[in-house]
Amino acid sequence: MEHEIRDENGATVVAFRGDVDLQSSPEARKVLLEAVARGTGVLVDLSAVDYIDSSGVASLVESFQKARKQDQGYVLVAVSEGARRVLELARLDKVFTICGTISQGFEEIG
Amino acid sequence: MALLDRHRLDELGGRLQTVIDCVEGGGATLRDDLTILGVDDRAARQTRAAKEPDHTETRPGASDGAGMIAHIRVPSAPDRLKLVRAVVENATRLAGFNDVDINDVVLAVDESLQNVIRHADGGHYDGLMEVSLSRKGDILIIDIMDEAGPVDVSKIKPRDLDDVRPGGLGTHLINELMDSVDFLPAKEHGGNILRLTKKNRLKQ
Repeated sequence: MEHEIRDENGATVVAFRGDVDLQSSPEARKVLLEAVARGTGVLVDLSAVDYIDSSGVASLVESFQKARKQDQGYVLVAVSEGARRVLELARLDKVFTICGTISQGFEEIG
Repeated sequence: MALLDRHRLDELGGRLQTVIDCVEGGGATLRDDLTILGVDDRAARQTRAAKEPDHTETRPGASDGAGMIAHIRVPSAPDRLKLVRAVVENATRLAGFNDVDINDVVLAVDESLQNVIRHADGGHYDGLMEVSLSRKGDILIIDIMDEAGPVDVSKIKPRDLDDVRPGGLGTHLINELMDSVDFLPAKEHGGNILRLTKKNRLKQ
């Protein structure tokens, strides 16, 4: 798994690439919690995620809940087909705010 | 319990004798009566097995012979999961499944192995994990084996998804993704066998 983290439009964008699995999810969790700790809205770009398992989803849920406690915006954007399938199976597609594109994500966070 | 577990493959009479030997073998004077009742469901299990379709046969290693597609054995470690996923993906494709089902099978096997890595022997299992894929008709059979202590199947339950929190999704995902999920009787030398099956609906 690779990741990129950047500031854009007053928000923090985290983009993952590759497999977010049991081996890489500790790093994903660290990156996501650091992004939330910045205090801005967070957009998580999952467009290049080839594979995500329950441990990767757990990292998303934990950082999302932390952001929500702090009244920060938190959206998933451009979710890949495979990642969407896992979120749907876990019935989390109704829990997360999911935007089709990154520009829609910025609009959602405001 | 450990004594019974070590002798779980013995006939009932032999298991009872083992307990009696253990009680009498201490050398102490026995003063109280002791009644030991053993209930063996082996006959009932055989009857159940006879009624089940072929793909649910309880003998592991159904992957031997003509139906065998692939078999992989790796150490119980997160950095081996990608390798196993690649094997499972290709084996499932070879079995003629479509892309959606292939991804589902890969995820189910991955989650099953994660359970071994994270929970077997209290999270300290450092032995081997095996995945065997075979085909029987239009059924894909996957046996996931380890050499850890016996799993308490009664404790393996999917959690309430309305309780949104990190973790605990693996069992739910496996159940959702596969047609059947069953622990088989342990191998002779111990360990656990989880059998997953999925029907190839393209072949109906």
